[in-house]
Amino acid sequence: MNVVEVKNLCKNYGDFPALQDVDFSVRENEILGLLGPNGAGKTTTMRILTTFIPPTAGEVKVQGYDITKQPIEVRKITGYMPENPPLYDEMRVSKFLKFVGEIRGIPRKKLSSRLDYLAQVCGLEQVWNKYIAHISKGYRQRVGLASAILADPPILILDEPTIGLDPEQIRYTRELIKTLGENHSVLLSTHILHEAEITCDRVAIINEGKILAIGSPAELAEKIRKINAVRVKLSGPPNEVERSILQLDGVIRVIPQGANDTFTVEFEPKWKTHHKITELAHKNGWHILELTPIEASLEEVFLKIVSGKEETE
Amino acid sequence: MRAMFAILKKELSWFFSSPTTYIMLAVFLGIAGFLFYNIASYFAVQCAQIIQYKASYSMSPPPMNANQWVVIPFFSNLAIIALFIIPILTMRIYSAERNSGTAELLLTSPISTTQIIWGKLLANIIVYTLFIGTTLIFQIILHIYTNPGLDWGPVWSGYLGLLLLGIAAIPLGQFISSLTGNQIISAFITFALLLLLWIVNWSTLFASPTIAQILNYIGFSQHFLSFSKGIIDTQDIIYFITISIFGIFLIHRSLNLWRVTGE
Repeated sequence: MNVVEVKNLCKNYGDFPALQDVDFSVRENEILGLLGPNGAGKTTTMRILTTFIPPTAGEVKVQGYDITKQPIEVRKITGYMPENPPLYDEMRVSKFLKFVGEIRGIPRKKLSSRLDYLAQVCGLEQVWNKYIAHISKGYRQRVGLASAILADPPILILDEPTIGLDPEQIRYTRELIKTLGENHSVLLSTHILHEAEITCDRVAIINEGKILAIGSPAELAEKIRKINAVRVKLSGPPNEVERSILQLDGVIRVIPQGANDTFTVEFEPKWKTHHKITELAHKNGWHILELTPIEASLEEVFLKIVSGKEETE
Repeated sequence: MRAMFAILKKELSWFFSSPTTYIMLAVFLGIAGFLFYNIASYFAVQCAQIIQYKASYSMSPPPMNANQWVVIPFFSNLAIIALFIIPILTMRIYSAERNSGTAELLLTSPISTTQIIWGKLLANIIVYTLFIGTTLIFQIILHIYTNPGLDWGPVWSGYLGLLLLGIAAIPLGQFISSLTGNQIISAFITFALLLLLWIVNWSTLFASPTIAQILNYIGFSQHFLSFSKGIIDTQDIIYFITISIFGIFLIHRSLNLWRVTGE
């Protein structure tokens, strides 16, 4: 079931089109990552989904509620953490979270137990009674996350949740998000590929206001793989091996590696050249010392998609 | 309702925990005290002269009245100090939310714009009322040291006038605060606007009768003056409430504009 449904979403800032015909959906209890460089439209998308800013055109439904017609309903079921968590510096952490609980309408009795729970889960016990102005960036981020999940909404929208954190805090936050993803639908944005790869069930690649590809990290790699590549090492004389491989159908290029006896062979997938290499070795009586397919990493996929061209030469 | 009270509570706790409020209150009482002292002293001198006058010419003196000589001018002065205080009370109310990004928190919470507006308005009105309420001490002093004391009716109507002045001016100040992230600019423009509304009828001398009438109606001072004299006119009440509603309407529009620009 799709919890968030985005159709033909457009947003213009004056003449500048920040989003153009964006389509995607978030399924129930999945973590969907919006991956894109800075200025790609990630924050704009999230601000529209959380009803902070109106779309120029298009339709967004959150659990069936239209974001422009039923904004209050949408806000009740979404928890939002902007990139710089909006916090009142002059309030204590505990007071701030209590305030958020009150404006989100959490019943008084439930609120205090919920606050105790969050203090523990988000690791806020140490700073619980400190003024927000006096806590570190990492803790600010955690308070922001705590305020987003405070009312336990089924949908979480997290804008760059790990930005500005130290490695230990990043690991902790990612694990927390993964745990939340088990029974929440999460939309998070990131410009870090590795993060999208390890935390998200599916990834939508966005650039210049357009969704370029969407799917699980593995699916995306598959989709993009216009070129297959294998690493080959045969027992024959390197020169001869290189020459004969080049003569096979579909080979795009052969790149010598190491001591020039190992080659990276790139070929068009439809020719199934890796089978041909096996036949070649067989015919010439060479031993196959190595024949490894090279997987395209999400990073390569991302770069290819975002730069909008494949390296075909 | 609970969300509105949460916002009201948040604003009030800011006011009472911030040193700015206490410094302002001290300055406000200092200036009010200084003005009161001057007006009351002048009244005392006048009284002494009248007594002398009566002694030398054995004529019955014109009646001296503390309400007439002290309370009315004191209220006019208080109103002008209030015009200084209000911009400082309202300057941060939306500017700070805009500046720190907390507007995003409020506007993506399941509360209506109306709840935000009323929470913030009530907070300012309560603090303002406490400020002007402290000046009651001067009226009490005057009552104790004059014979036969004050006529309290006009005093209460004067305070009602001050309260209504605040109820009209605070939404205007909050509206200006919602337009900018800069608190200084917010305070300055609010002060300029309120001052203009106070003095706008000065130009009636050089205006045609129709325009003079309009200027007199638009300005704060004529409406306030009747209250300080002890005249409670429904028309004046309607005037202040109308300005207030207009201000609230502007805040509403401005907050919706926040959403469009995303700031």
